[in-house]
Amino acid sequence: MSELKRVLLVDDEPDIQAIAKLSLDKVGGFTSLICSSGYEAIEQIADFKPDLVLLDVMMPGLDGPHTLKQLQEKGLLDGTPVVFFTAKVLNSEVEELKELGAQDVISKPFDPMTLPTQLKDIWNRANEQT
Amino acid sequence: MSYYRHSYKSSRWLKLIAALLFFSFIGATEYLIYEYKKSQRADLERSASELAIRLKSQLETELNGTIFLTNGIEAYIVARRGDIVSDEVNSMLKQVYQFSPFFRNIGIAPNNKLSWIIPLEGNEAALGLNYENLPSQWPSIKQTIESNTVALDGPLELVQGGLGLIYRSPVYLNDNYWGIISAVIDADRLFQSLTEEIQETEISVQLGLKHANNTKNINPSPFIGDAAVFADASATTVVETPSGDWQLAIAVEEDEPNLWVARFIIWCLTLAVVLGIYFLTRHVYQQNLLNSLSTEVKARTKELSDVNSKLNHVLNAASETAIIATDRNGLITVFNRGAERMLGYSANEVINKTTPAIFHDPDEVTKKEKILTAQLDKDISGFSVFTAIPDIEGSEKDNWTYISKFGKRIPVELIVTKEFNNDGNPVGYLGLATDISQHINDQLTLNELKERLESATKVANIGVWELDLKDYKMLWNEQMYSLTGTTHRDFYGNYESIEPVFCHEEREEFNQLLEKLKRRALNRDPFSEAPPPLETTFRIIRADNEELRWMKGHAVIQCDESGVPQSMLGAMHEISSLVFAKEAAEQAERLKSQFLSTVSHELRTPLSVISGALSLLSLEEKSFSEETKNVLDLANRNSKRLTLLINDLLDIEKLTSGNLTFKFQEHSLKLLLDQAIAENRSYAEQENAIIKFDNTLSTDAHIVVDELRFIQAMTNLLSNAAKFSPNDGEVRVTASMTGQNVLIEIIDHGSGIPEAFKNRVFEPFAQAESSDSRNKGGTGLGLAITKTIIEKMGGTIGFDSELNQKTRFWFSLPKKTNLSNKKSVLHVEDSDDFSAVITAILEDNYEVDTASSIQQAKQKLSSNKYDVVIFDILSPDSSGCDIIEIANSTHEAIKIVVTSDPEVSLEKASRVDAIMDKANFTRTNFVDLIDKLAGNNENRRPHV
Repeated sequence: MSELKRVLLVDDEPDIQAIAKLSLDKVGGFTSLICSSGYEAIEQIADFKPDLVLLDVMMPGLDGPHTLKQLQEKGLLDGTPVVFFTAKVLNSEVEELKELGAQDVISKPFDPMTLPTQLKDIWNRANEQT
Repeated sequence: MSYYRHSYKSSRWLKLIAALLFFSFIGATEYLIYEYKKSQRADLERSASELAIRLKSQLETELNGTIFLTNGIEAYIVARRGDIVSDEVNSMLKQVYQFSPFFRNIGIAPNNKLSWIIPLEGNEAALGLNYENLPSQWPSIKQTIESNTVALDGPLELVQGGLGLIYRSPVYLNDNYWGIISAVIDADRLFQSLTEEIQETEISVQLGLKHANNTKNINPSPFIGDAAVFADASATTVVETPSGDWQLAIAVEEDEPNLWVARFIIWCLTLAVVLGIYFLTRHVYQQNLLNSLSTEVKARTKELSDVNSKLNHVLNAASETAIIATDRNGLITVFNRGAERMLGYSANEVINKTTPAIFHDPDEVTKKEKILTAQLDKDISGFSVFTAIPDIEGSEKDNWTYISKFGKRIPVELIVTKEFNNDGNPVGYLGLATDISQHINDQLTLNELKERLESATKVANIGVWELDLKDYKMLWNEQMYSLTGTTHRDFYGNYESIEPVFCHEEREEFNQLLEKLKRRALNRDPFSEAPPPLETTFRIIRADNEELRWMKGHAVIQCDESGVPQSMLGAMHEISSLVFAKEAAEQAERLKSQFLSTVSHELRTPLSVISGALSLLSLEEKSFSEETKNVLDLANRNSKRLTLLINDLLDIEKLTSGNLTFKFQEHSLKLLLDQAIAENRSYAEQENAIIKFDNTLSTDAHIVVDELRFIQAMTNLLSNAAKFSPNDGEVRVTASMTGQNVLIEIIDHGSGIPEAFKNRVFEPFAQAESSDSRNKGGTGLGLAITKTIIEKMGGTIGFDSELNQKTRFWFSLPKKTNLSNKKSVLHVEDSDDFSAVITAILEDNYEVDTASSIQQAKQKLSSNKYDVVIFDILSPDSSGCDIIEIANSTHEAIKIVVTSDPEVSLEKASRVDAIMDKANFTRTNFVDLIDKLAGNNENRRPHV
């Protein structure tokens, strides 16, 4: 696989979902699937087979870090890079998120016009490392 | 007297030792005799064994020799097939007979009829005898013939007289019986030869010989000696004969040596020697005893004289203590110099003249009389006031008031002791009186101080306590009750009384500490150095209202002179209000942070949507009217402004709460300024201002800062300057060195800062009122943030401004001083992990700089000096070969190392110094390579 095509977005905010989907589909030209919760992502990931997962940190119920942990434990990632999507801004928080196994962290507010490029860069880096 | 006792005892010991010595000698003598006898017996037994073997050998030789001779005759008969010639036989028998001295006769009896016999003399009657006609011998002869074996009969009494051994040998010719040969051996002579052999030995023995028990048809009784010889035999052996074994026994006739005379002589000698030693030792000992007694008497006499002299000195020297002795009736007998000084009387005035009543307070004496009368239930008066207790208990200590000759009252501590002479009879009383005026004054002062301290602790509400570490007995002051809410009824004077008020955790902790200290106190386990004072904050539950209170406690562990802990002394006071206030403040701080975090998240989410939606509209921009575009632009600008505002708000919160972390790294100042200016150029252009950079720095000015925060501070200053510049105004940035610092100035020519606002410029939310109609925007937080950032990075910030002339903001930061002579390495790598590995390996010996892109590497190479550059030829953002070009053009002697797969890069790497295969990367190889390259221009292109 040489190109980022399928992105799974996990976020509980419907407005963010709408903006991100427009950005991913229209600007980036990706095929995207939106999940409103961590549980939904865990259910859908095997069928959708994303190239990259964009995961919101603060979600009710199962939050981003716990979703990532479950995905890892259930072996559902199989090398698929996960990028956190967060309004948190402290350096230390970003470092902690990376230590959990995320490829990168994208902070909100995000620019929908540049988000696809950011994801492509991250995806390329992840592929080179592997 | 003790010397006599000692001497008597020593003499007894000497006698005991002499007796022990005597019996030890006797014992040793008896033991030697016993050993001598044992060895003699062993010698005898050995000789008997040797004799037995010799006798056996002699017997067997004689018997068997005789038999072999007889066998010669048999051989002749067989050879002649029984047809024997009388002359030949007679001649042969004669010869054979002569060979052995023990033959009595030899006969040949064909068909059992004795036809030839030698010697004939004395045996004529036997010639012609038929054995079959001899009923006593025939059964034995017949058995020998039938079994065709040789036989040796006897010893038996012979017809001719004497003892004989009869040897018979049947002769068969071709299995046909022919006749029998018989030889009679003279047993008497044979046994006599044995006796002669025995007599030749020096020992006295008895010989026994009999048929062995395993031999059939024999007489069991011995034919030499008797059964007792076999029973007492020292040596036995078996003699083998043609018709069975004989048993030979030798019994030694032991001759008990008579040693009694020798014994007696030794005993007498021993007694004489021991007595000699005893008397000699006693004499020497007594002589020594006398000598030492004499020396001792002299020494004791001198000692007594010395002691007496010293005692007089002591009596006189004890000038602060009055020593007064009396006889049994109270008459003063000794009155030392101390007494003279204290009381004003001279010794001559009082000795043998008066009693101590002259310097005692009569009222006190009367008072004591009453007390003692009541106490002892008998009339006590006069001098017996001082002696009643010493008479019973030996001594008494009490406080009295002396009155001197001049009327001065002196409080004293008087010790009265009863005195006895050498016979144990009482002779008088000795009084030692010490002036305790000073002690009483000290006590008064101490009490006063104690009262003051108590007042102070009461005012400050400080609880003071002392705890005995061995038995946990406790003392405390009144304030402890009010602090702990306990009453006098709750306190039993021990640790258990206070223990229930401590909260559980504290109680466990205190109890453990006290247990440890108690163990040390009881086991006398000393501290090697004085234990430090203890300080703790702890909680109690008040006993009266069960409210939680916070206390601050201090304590010291008190040790004895050897360092063993004895007690603890402590103080405590209440700090509840402080703790509660602190807790409330911390809670408020937590709530504030939580609030800001929530606000941040909650604001950013809708802001993301708004700015995202606006941004996405630009996809359809072409279809919008100009007016719509303007409105969109307005919305875009304000959403960005809102984002900035929120970021600034969060930044200021993080800066003030200390949550903002800085990632300090060394950077080129020029590069940082270039970057900051580039990032703000478009904004300045929007504001119709131009930024100009006036760099007077050398290229190697480096600073250690957080890159992002530095850019943030520069952005705030540059955007402010651009914002307040007049149209087409110039914003000038300068960088220069001031001592060990770098100084950066940002100068604009705008309206300037009003005087009234100057002291609030760096305060949050401060913005000057402006008559300028333009909307300047901003949050009023930028300069406050900038000041904090600069200060956190070790710098200072300031400004000067003239209205409508010039405004100059400046900040300075410490310059990085490169004290080491380390060579510098630039590592170009887009993988953070690999970059970190290389930095970690090299940073001990090199200044390591990193660049994450070819672009950044180019910038660093053009502004900094490096000795080695390491890069990956397959770096993604540009052709790695560009680096080779730039490095070679900017640095004359730089070494270039490529980290990649060698097969891929061989062609491109024609101008590099080394290629390092990442797959075979090892720390040692890598360090060796870099060391070689950095220190040595030769050996180009080693391949690792």
